[in-house]
Amino acid sequence: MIKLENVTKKFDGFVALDNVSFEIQKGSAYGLLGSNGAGKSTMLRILTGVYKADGGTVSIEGASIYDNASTKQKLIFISDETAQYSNMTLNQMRKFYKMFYPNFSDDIFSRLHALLGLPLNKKTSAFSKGMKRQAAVICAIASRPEYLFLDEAFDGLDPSMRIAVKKMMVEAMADSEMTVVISSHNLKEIEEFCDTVGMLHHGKMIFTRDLYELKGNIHKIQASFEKEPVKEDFPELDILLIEHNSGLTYIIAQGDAEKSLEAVKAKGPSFCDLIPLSLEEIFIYEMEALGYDKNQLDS
Amino acid sequence: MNKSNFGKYLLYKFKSHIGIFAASIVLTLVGFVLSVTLLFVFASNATEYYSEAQGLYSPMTDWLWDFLMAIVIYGLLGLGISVLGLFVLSAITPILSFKFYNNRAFTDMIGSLPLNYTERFLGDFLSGFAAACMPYLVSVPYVCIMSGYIGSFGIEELADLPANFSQGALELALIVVSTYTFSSLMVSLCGKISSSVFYTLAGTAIIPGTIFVYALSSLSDVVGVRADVTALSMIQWLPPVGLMPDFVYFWGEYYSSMFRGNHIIEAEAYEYVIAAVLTVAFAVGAYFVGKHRKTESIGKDVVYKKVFWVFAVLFEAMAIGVVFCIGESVNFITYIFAAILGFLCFIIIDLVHSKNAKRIFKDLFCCAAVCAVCLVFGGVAASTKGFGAEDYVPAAENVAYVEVWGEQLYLSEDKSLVYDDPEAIKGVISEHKDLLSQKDKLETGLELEINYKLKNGMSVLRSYDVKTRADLGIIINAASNIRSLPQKGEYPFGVLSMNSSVYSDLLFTGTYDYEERIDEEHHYRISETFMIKPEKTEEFKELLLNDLKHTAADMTRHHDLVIAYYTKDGKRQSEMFFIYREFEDVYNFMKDPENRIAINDYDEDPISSGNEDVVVNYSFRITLDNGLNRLQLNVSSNSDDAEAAELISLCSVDPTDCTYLIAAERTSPSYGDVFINKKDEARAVELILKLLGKSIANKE
Repeated sequence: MIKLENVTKKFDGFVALDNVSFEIQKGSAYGLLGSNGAGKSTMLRILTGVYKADGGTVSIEGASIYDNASTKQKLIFISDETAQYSNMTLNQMRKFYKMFYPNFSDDIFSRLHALLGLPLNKKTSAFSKGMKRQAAVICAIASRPEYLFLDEAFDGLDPSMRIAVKKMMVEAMADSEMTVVISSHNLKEIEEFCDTVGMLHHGKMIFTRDLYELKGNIHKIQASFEKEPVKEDFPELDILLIEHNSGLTYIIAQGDAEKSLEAVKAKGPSFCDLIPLSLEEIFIYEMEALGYDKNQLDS
Repeated sequence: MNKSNFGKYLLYKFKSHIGIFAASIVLTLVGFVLSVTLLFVFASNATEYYSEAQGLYSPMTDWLWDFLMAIVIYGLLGLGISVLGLFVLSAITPILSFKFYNNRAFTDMIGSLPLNYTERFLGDFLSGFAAACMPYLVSVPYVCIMSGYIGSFGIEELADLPANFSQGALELALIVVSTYTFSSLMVSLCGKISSSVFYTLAGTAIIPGTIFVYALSSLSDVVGVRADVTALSMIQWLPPVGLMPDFVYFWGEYYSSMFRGNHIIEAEAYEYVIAAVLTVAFAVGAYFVGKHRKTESIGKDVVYKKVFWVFAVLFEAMAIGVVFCIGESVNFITYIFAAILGFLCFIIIDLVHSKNAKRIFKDLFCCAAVCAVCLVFGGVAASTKGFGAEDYVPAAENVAYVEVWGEQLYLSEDKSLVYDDPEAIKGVISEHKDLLSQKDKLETGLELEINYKLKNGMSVLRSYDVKTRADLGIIINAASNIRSLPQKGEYPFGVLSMNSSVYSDLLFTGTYDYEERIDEEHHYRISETFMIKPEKTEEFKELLLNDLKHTAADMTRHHDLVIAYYTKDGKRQSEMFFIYREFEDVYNFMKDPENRIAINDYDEDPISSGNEDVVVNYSFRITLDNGLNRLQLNVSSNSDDAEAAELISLCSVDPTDCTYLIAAERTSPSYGDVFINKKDEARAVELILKLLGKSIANKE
């Protein structure tokens, strides 16, 4: 399990991470969300021991990470940079990872390599960004780490490759109970792959939740009333937001969806229906409920 | 330490430096090992002839001369390129090796590897060190063996190679290693490649540079202080740049006369110790800076702002110091220029660093403060004549020994009189103080040089000349008085008090008439070498000493007199004296044939094989010339060899109708060419062949 307690990181007075605490369960796929500059990369660098936290504690299975070789032996970090591999061929990358990670599987590497069809003996400086990322992911998965950290993992990948890479990771997780932590600002990617998500905004962890629980706990009801209702008209509901648009009322509420629907219907709307929410909407409403302004979040 | 991962990382890093390693090997092998080997093999002859080429006739054929010169030029060029190349490699390798500090992509990759800081640092440091420095360091023992123990190989031609070669090689090792460790430290202090390069280069130059310019400017107007030498000596402990003048001296001394006599540049042992300690300190500093620097500092010019301030202040100070050096004296105009240049330098470096013009105004106070301190320093140094250096004479109780050298002591360039007796030291100090009492007539020069070696290991060097030649008597008197003090051990005048058994081997190579003896054909100056009859050497000694003691200020130095002699242990020594035209007794003595051994009575290398009794050998370089081909033979024979004696008796200085030319080896031009008349040709050939046969048989 990865555990962060009150982690703070400052860059020349700028607070990149502000008193962040959360846990990531072993074997889970954790999605770290946030806009540009939210602190995702900083968080990953702290989680992988590249950066040292200015305050708080970070641990994997109870052991510190920074400057701790035995803990780092369990993890691999694939950053959003790929320049470090420029002077290597894919084969050399394989040797490099195999050198440091004894669990490296040539079988897995061969299988993944065959799947993606990357040239083995060509310098990666000749690769496209997407190919470099594929190469890095292949090596990382073949290394069979207990913890895999990916910064903007799917950047530069075309849709078919995204699917292929996701498939590779899912298989690896199933095979070895690997914990995957992915940062992204793409909610759709996270929604498809992760079971737990955390949202960083301006260095603060806004929330961290199980995705299925999150999805099941928040819902949107569309209804039409003769007189536009207000939040206080539904005291039995945990309403996050109530909006009116073109004669329709939209109610975003937490809790049991069926019970909420019944409660709304009890107010005698001419029309009432439950609408599925996208993850993006869930986050927006959730964060607005936490007091964050939607426009502020967009920034 | 996770040894397995450390080893893997070291290997991975070393492989990434394979290009540097290859370059280092090439520089070491082709540039250094081969150059040194060639210089070793040919050094003795080449350098000897090189020296002779500056003034004396050499009997070498053109192709041999060209060949030897080519070797020397290749050797020196190869050395220069390898030294420069190794210096550059040592400076840039840490920038590449510590990519963790200046390349974010590598920071993420390397930082997350299963290594702790110490493993990562050692992997980065040692891999770069092995690639850039090890090839050269491995070659150092080879050079030391060649120069230090070559005699044990029984290779006669290499027997007199200078020990300086090994000292120079060790010094270059210190330069290379210190450059590497210093660069490692500077890279650890920087967050970008560009700033790493800049601060490494600036750092190697700016600290010794600042010390040097202030020492130079503070002492340039101080009578008796050789500002350049003193300034150099003040930075000799600062590696890597501080060691370089000493290194250049080592190699240059052997090949260029401009370095001879400048032994004062040579670093003291303690300075090497300090340099070595600093070299290690740089590496330790790099370790701790890296340990405490924040990984996220990548992308910054410098990790710690204080580093920038140190450099900015030093830049400004050095700029001001340079103006002080250029200005002949520190006056109002110098002050204005110094202040302007200092401000400009500070502003430029601040602007480059902060990229914010507004910020400069905030820093101007610091700039002004530094400027003020520098200007005050320059003013105080000028007004106090180098902070009292001009009048400073060390107390006798603090002096371990004192060396005195000077033209007025009639010594060879590389010899000094040494005094270690307390009373003698007091005597030198007394003479020194007397000189200073007339310092208005003195300036800095080389007529008389006094070098106090203090008990604390430091040196105090003073060099004097007179402003006008009319005052030369001041220095001559001091030199004369100092010369009469009891000296330490053997000294050059010991030549003149050697026992009679050695006197018989005294040789004099006088150039007393060389202006009139220009060889028009070869354009070489011809000196004359002759041997004084054993029974006449005592008389000569008295004449020479008497003349030396009666030198006067208005004498015009005219000739160098080289006295070659053999010590009791058989070593050939030579000393040079300055002979004035006024030394009439000496001249007359030397010109009198009665005082010389006739040319066919002696050999120039009489006791090369013994040390108890004089064994005169005949040794000739015989050139056979039939107009188309020239054949050179070397023949040597014992003094009691009748055939050799007969051959010499056939020699004639008259070239008329001659076909054979015989010249005594090494100093043949000094004798003048000697010929064999045609009528004696057949007998001479017979004798030559017999001698040659004997010579070969003896060698076998």
